[in-house]
Formats: sequence, structure tokens, C-alpha cells
Amino acid sequence: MTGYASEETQNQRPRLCLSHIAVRAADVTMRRTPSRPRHLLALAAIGFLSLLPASLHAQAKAAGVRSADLQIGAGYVGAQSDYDPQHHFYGPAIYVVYDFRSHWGVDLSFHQVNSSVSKDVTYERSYEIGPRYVRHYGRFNPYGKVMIGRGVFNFPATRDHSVNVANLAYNIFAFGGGADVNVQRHVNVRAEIEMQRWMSFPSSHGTSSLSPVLVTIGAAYHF
Amino acid sequence: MTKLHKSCIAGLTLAVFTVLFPVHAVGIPLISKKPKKDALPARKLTQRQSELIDKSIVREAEVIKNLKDRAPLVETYIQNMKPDVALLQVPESDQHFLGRIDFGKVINHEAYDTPDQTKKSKGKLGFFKNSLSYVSGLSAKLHLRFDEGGIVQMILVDSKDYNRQTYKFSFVRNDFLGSVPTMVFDVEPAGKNKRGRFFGRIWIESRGGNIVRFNGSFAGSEAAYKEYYHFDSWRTNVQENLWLPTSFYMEESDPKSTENTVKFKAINHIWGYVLKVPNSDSENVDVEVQGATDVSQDAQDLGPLGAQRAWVQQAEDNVVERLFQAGLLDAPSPFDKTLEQVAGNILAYNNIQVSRPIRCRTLLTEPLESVAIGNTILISKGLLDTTAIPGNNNEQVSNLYAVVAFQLAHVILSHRLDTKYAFNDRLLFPDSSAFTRIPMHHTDKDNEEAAKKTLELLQPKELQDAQTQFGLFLAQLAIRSKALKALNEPMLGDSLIKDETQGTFWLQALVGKGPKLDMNDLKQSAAMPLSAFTRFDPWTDQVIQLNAPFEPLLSSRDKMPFEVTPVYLKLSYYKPPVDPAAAGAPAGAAAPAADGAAPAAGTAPAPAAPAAGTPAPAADGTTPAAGTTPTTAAPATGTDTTPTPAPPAGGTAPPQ
Repeated sequence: MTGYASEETQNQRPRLCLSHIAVRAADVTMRRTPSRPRHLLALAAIGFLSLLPASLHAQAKAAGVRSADLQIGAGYVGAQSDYDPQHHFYGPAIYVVYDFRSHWGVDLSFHQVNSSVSKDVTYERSYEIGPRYVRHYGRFNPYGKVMIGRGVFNFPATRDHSVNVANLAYNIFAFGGGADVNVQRHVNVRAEIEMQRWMSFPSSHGTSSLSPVLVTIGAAYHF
Repeated sequence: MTKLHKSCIAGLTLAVFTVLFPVHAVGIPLISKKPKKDALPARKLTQRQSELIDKSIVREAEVIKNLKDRAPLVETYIQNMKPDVALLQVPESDQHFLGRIDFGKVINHEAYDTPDQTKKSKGKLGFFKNSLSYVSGLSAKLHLRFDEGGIVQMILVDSKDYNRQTYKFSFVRNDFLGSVPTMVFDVEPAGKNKRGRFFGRIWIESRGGNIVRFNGSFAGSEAAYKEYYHFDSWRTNVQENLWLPTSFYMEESDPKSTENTVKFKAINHIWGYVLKVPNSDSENVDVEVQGATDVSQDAQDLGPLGAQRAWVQQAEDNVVERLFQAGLLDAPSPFDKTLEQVAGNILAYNNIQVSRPIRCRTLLTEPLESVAIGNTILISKGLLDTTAIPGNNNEQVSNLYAVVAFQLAHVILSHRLDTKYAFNDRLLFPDSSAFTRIPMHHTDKDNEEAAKKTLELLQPKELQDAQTQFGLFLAQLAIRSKALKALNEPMLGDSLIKDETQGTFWLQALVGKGPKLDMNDLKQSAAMPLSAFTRFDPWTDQVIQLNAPFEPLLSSRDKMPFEVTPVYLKLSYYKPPVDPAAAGAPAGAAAPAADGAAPAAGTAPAPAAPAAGTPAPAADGTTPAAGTTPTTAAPATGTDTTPTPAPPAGGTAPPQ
């Protein structure tokens, strides 16, 4: 399907132009990241590498250990997307975290953020998976994570965004961090910030990516 | 767009900082912490105290070397407790581990395989049962569980860095543990990184600078993720200037309890130091039997039946020897003679003759079990301890009659061993596979037959008390068996329990014969706590009868049937074995020394001891020495078991 550029859109602040939307087949490989995301990657790598677990220096092994940790939760997400900087996006999130070591685990996340404008069909949906590193300080468990996944963007067509013209998927990667707090034996409360990068996303400002920032507040059942 | 990238970098930086630098480490006022004061009082050590600490560092290295070379066995038995209105706290569940020290960079543990681990369900529902157990195993991973490797750490203060750089010491006082003079120090980690380092109190004996006891914990617990528990670890003087870990007790309080109960308690024993590295003396020992004459020329040939019996005997001897090599059986001990006498009495009262003498040995593990390997009866230490009821009515001997009779019934009914073990290649396997490679438990059919036979064996009037006393024991066990599954799970032989779900016993008929169980009756003792009657020498693996004074029961809470209790050894210095030839007059050799020092290990029981120490010949019409337990000659290893003149029974109560 080919798009078209409306007169109005051409005269507005640079934003995604419908003529730039290209219909692509599913792209399962990550493309080379532009230079700025490479710096972010390097920073994250240094951050993770420097987080050598204290257990490497520990003396005695613990007598009581938990082999794994599982929590399944849901939350509410607020996002700031550079697709529509004037408005925020909101929606639900679901996450599953399985820590197979005391400081390392896997995070699976789903976010669905919809435009806050009434009747606007624009939304960003992301499915992500990735490793996470977590520390434990009593009830407070801060963590950092690196995610990859797939993002689905629902593009509007009409001026009022009430009809969508395309629903396309992109590879995404993300960095994030936050903290889980044990409020009760089986209940964790989470606050998290995540920076996503949607690869090959058609953009009107010169870069081929979308970079929403998501903030999630949620609660999980801790097994 | 610049704003967007700036916000990305800002957000990422915030995320990394959140994980990299915990707020308390950088002192952000959000969660402020006062600087931690030094836990130890600022008091300088004297030169003597300092020298003793330096000695202890050198000696500790020697202990670690011995552990690495000798790889002793470690048994852990844990009871999780719950509050109880009447009894303060009762066991809720239990766990049992058995393994060998495996010393890599730090001390670790190699578990012995148990039959449960290798069992897979078969049949139509086998796949589902195995899948369900896999799922429940996954579920178990999500909860805090005991780690054997972590528990084993408690036999050493620090398996790598016990030195003045890593630890700070503060003198507390001088103290005596048994007859051993010690200096007591409080210890805590010196550096900033305290995770996994010991903090607590150590006792260093003044003569050689050996650590003989230490209690405390390791720093760095992360609640609900990685926890270190409190423990009290004891050592005994097994050889000249060598103190090796012997037992330690673990306990953790329940913070939610208003009655100061514990969350769990555990007992750990270490033994088998000479199994891998034999004593250098043992090769040079000359065995000479006094008064023996050489009759080898007159030996008769074996007929077919004799050859068959000898073949069976060889299989049994191979298995018993293999179990001993694996560290599961005691070394031949004076206490075994007591059990053999009990067996002899049963045969005598029933006028039964057996083709070969009955031998008895002790399984050095806690689970309550017994087994007959041909004519050798094995009884577990846990079963011996919990049946050792003190009293004036021979309660303990009555229990032993019932326990031994059950296995004697198997012997009489010829439930014999598979003769494949007569071939030594069948026994070439790692020690840790002993339980799975030599399954000794009898079939249900054999146990049913033996149970019926046991009731017949206990019919003579001299053994009537055995029925009532053991019936009471089983009644007490019935109440605790649901909680103490691991204690009733046999590792090698036959459990007392026939059906776990229904809670019935093989000797269920005896339950009704005992008096009604009444926990509030302080004169009634149905079962004792663990480690009530025996302990074993960690060097020689001999079983030793405790010589504990009577402790009066003040309430039903003092009974603690089948429960774990703290370790408290009365220490003494090692005395080398006395050469029997050089001992002179027997009475002189048996006389206790004025300072209460114990006679040497391995010597024959003092002739002054009553005849209870010798097995009664079968069916010779002599009155067996019923109701007596011998005062065994205590060995020289570092606990003080001062021999006393023959007591009426082990640990009996004074008349009330």
C-alpha cells in the first residue's frame, strides 16, 4: 500500500509523513544501529560488566538458598513518544520475571500504549524479552535490563487520527531499569523506566527509528 | 530530537545508577544510615593472647589440610518447627542429608545418592507422575531451601582466609570446656567486604592453640534469597594435637513467634576421618591370639550344605565390609556386644538355635531403621538413641528386645541376602552410591512374615515388658511420623512404618499392648530425643555409650521425643591407646585415673565390668544378664566419659 502526503501535514512541524510509510516484509534481523544507539549500547555494556556480583568475592556459601525467583505482574504504562511529542501515550503492561540466579534473570514484557487523544487510533505495542541484573537490599531490589523484541505501530490516516491506515511491526531493542519492592511476602510493587528504540521506523526527522520512553508502575505476584 | 536523545541518556544513566550505586552506599539522605560502630570493644590483646591466636591460625591450616585429604562424611538432620500450645514447639517437617566433604577452592559437599533420587515412576501414569514431580521440583526451586554445601561451611571458621588480616579478635575470658582450658575470643571480619565471613565467638585451647569450639554465623544474609544461619560447632581431640570437627548444631529463631520458638533446628555429625587415609599404625599391628593352637591340619572339608552356607556368609561379609568402607557402619564397638547379647537372650528364651552366631553393628545414620544382612543385624543410631528410655524397669532393654527381635525374625525365617554379592566386582562402586547399589530392605511379604514371627519371639514371660514398652514407643512415633518423614525414611533397610499414608507399623499389634500415651505424665517416657544414648568417635567410627547424668523432667516440654537437641560435648585431651600387654593386672588397668581421664580406645572392656559385656551363649540354659547394659570402656578421643561402676541401666533415674 502506498501512502500520500497531505497538504496540511507538509506544513506542520516535522513528523512522520504518510508518504514515507513503506510496506515491508517482516524484518527479523537487527540492522546496524546508528552511532548514537551504539554509544548507548556501550554505556549499558559497561554498566552491566561492572556489576560483578559480590558472590565472586564471598567466602562461605549460604545455607539457605532460593534457586529461582518468579514473579508475574501487570501495570500501567505512560509513554512519551517522539512520534507525537505533544501528547502522551498510556496503557497496560504485563511482565513476567524469572530470576534463575540470585542476581541474574530473564524479563518478558508486553506494553500497549494508546494515544491520549480522544478517538486517536495511534498506538504502540511492544513484546520484549531480555536479561536483567538485580540486586537485593532488604525489601528493595533495584535492577537493570536490556531487551529485544518486536514493536507494532498502528498508524493513523485521517487528519483526526480516527482511522488507521497501516499496522506495521518493527524490531526493537530497549534499555531499562527500576526497582521491585517486596511489600508483602507474595506481592512486589514495581517502578520502571525504559527507553525503546524501534529500528527502521520511518521518521520525518532524518533518523530511521522511533525512541519512546516508557514509565511503568505495576504490581506482581511473587511466587 | 536533541531533547529526546538527552532524555534517553538521562533515563539510561538513572537506570544504571539505580543498580550500580545503592542509595545507602552513597549516603543519599533518602535512606540515611548512621555510620556503623565497631561491634568489638576496643581492647588490646596481651602478648599471650596474641600468640595463641597466631598458633590457632597455623593449627587451623592443619585442620583444613586434614579435611581435604580425608574427606570425612557429614550427616545433617533438620527439623522445621512450629509453635504448639502444650509443648511450646513441635516438629512440622524434616530433612536429611548425607554426603562427603569435597574440598575444592572452598569447602563443599558431595551427596550420597538415595533410592528416592534414582526412582522413576513406571506404569500407565508414570509419565504424569514424573512430570508432576518435575513441576513440583520446579516449584520447590522458587522457595528457600537448605543447601548442603552451605551447611558444610559451618565445620570451619573460614576455609580460605582465617588470619589476622581478615578477622579482628577480642578477648572475652578464660574458660574450661570439659577438662580442656581455653581462651575465648569474639571474632568479626576486619575488612569492608564481610559477605560470607564468620562473626561470633571461638574457643581456643591453651595448650596447642587449636580451635575447639566456635559459634556464630556468617555475614551477608539476604532475607528470602540467600541466608546464613546460626550454628555452634564442636571439635574433639582425635589424635595428638589434632582437633577435628565432630558435631555442630544449627538453629534459627522465628522472628514472628511471640513464644520465642525456633524456625528450625538441625544436628550435624562428622565422621570417617580414617576411611580414605588409614591410620599409619594399622598396617604394623601384629595380631597374636594368646593360647591358640594351630589346628589347621585337622580342619574338616566342607560338605555341600556347609559350602552353601559359607558362600552366603561370604556375600554377607562382603556387604558388611563394603558398608563399613563407605562410612555407614560403625567399627566393631563394645556396644555391639550388648546388642549381640540381647539377640542371644531372645534366642535363649525361645530355645532357638541358629547355625551361626548373630552379630550386631550400628548404622551411623539418624533415620530410624534396622536390617538383617544374613546373620548380621544392623540398627541405626537414631533408633538406638530414641529407644533408650531411662528408668528402673529396664525400659531401654525392653525396647531393644523388640527392635532386635524384628530382624532376628528375618534371620530365623532365612530371608537371606542375594548371593551375587559374594562376587567382589558387584561391590566396586563409589561410596556415594552405596544406598542405591546395595538395597537391603526386605520385601513387604518378608516384613509381614517377620512381624508375625516377632510377636512369637516376644511371647516368653521374660520378654512381655518388651511388648508394652515398644508399644508405647510406637504410639509416640505414630503422632510424630507424619511430620518426621525423613526420620522414618530408611536409607538402607527396613523402616518401622508399614504404610505412610495410614500411619501403621509392621509391629502394629504391639501398639495396643502399651499403656495410653500421656504427654503430661512426667513418669512416662515413650521416646527420647536424638543423640540421647550414643555418640561415635569421629576417628575410629566406634559407637560409644554416653555417660550422661539423669536430668529430671520438669514439664511435658522437656520430653522432646524424636527431636533434635543442641550439641554440648565434654571435651578432654587425647590419650594414646594403652598396650594391653603392658597394662599389668586387669583391675589396675581398669581403674579410672584420679583426674578422670578415660582409658584408651579399642581396648577390651574392663574385666571388672559385669558379664553383660559378653554375649550370652545361645540356648545354654544360663540366665541371660537381662536388664543390664555394660559400662563400656570409653575410648581416648577427646570427650570425657569417665567410667563409673556398673549402673543398673544406662542413665537410669533415681527412685522417686
